[in-house]
Amino acid sequence: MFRALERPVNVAAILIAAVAVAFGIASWRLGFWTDDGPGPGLLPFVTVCLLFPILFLIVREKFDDEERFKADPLVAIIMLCVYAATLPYLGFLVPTVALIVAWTTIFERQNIVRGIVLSGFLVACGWVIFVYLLRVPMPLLPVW
Amino acid sequence: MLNSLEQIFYGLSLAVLPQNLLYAFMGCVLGTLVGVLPGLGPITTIAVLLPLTFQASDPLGAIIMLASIYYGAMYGGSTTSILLRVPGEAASVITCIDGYEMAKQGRAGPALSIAAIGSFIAGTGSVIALSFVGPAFAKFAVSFGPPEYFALAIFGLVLSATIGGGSPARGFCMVLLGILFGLVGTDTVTGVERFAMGVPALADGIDLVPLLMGLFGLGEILYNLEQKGELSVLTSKIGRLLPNREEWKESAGAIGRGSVLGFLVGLIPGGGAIIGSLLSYSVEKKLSKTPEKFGRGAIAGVAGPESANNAAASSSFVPLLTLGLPGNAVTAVLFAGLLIQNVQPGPLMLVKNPDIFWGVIASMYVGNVMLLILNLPLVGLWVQLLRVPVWILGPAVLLVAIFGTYSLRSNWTDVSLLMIAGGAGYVLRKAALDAGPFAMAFILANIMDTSLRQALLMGDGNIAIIVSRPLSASIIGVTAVVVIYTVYSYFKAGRAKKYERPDNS
Repeated sequence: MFRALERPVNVAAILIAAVAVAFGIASWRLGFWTDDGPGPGLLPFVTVCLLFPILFLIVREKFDDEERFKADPLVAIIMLCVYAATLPYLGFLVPTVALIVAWTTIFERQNIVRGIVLSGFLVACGWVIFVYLLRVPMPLLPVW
Repeated sequence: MLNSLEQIFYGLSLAVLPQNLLYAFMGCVLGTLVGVLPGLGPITTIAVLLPLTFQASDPLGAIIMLASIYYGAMYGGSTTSILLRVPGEAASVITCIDGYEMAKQGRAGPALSIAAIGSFIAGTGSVIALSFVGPAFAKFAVSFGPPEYFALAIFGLVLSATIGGGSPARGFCMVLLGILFGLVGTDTVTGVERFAMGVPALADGIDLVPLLMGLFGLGEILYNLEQKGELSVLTSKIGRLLPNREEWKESAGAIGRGSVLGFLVGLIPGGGAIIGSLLSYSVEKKLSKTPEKFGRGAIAGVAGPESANNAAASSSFVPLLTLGLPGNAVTAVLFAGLLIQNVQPGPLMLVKNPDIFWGVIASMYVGNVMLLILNLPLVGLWVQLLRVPVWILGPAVLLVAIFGTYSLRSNWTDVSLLMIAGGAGYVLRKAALDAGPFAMAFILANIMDTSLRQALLMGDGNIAIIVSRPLSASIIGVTAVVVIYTVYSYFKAGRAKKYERPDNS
């Protein structure tokens, strides 16, 4: 079971199948036909019906350079989700500096001083381009 | 003919306005700059820089900048192919073969300049042809009804799923998934909310820009985290810049053939720069008197594909601007850029927004001249960019993507969508599922749905209406042939068949 999940295509197929089931149920509820003609659920339901046999085919395919998931990108995805969740409460400055420092030290294997310098430099550049030059209202600090 | 010439001059009068020249220049510099950096291709570049164009003061300036970024990235992509054997973008993969061999022999200069000159000639020729073909296409497309639009959308999606060289099953899977996600939002026919789960932000559908930036831009950054290692740049061996007489002779025919081939391929939905360059390489090898030189530094192996990919890049604007149907992933991202500026591409664009249509086409002439100037004498400067440490690039691009996404609507939900789409982009890339057909299907989903339902209403609920009109019947017929052939070859090859991994950059 867990060995099967080492293949990215299997993981992708499970996720796509889950999405397809949700879309299938919702399109059934929307209806395929109304008194005035074709309903809003018609095309999505046909699409879901076509998707399942294709999913079956793709998990059976083999690639010469079959890849496996690696830890770094998966950790990065979690970090990015946490970052996005904290932004509305903390503003851009603190989470972004923390993200860049963590990114350069964990994934790019640089020392923390370089991480801090780079994050300061990039956030300053971002501020100049987006806030100063392009006049985008970006909340840099916590909003409370 | 005369009318087209008048319109081109009208477009030129707009393109040479100081602010538009500035946008074109900025786009060319940004595109070349990011295109030169390995791992960041035109789709990623345009997707990440898309929000910057939102800040442009007028739609024409924004679209000129986007188109210039595209060409710039195409030009820049060849530099890394030749000097690093790392294609800056997918269409330059084939350039690596002979370009890198030339660089190893100390002929990097001629390889780089023939790539730039070939791209310039092909790009300019293609834009001239586009000026005449575009209006003819638009005139023809005005007569299209819902059955024709439905048939064309199906045709484009089938080709995008099957033509890329990867597994057709995976291509179809991504097309179907793209249709489902593209249908989220308010149904345009009944006004009912579809799949929005009561979330107000989804009532107008999933926002295209964060989705594409996540799938292509962030997904690429995450994927590149796995690709560690130092790059060896052959900068010391650039040598003389211009090709010698013999090299010119070898390249001239290849540039001409590559230009024509690329232009024709770019017109086909699902075609585009990658297929143009692959076809050109095989044609040149077949026509060559010395095919054994290919793979060992044949200059025609650089000139042909580079010309073809630039010609295809220009001609892929024809289905986008005249039919409103993006033919490949790059034009799908450009489609998003046009929508941000409230410009609806399609047959009526020539009537409603002639300034944008002709201004963009004319700016391509100007952009090609700028790129030649930027890429030939300044090639040494771009090469220096390759010395920027990789550990700086990832966080820099990440930050541009995050700030850029927020700047679009000052909305936190967009940033969350960017992250989710980025994660999805990484998983899809690992699973060899190409995000290109997904992006096309996402954009075409509502066009398909609305035209299918309108067609069914026209036919009193009978689907036969689609095959009873000559044009839609012909398109459906060709589509059916492609599907049957693909299914037949797929099952004939069986499970033993190994497929190419798609390149989403």
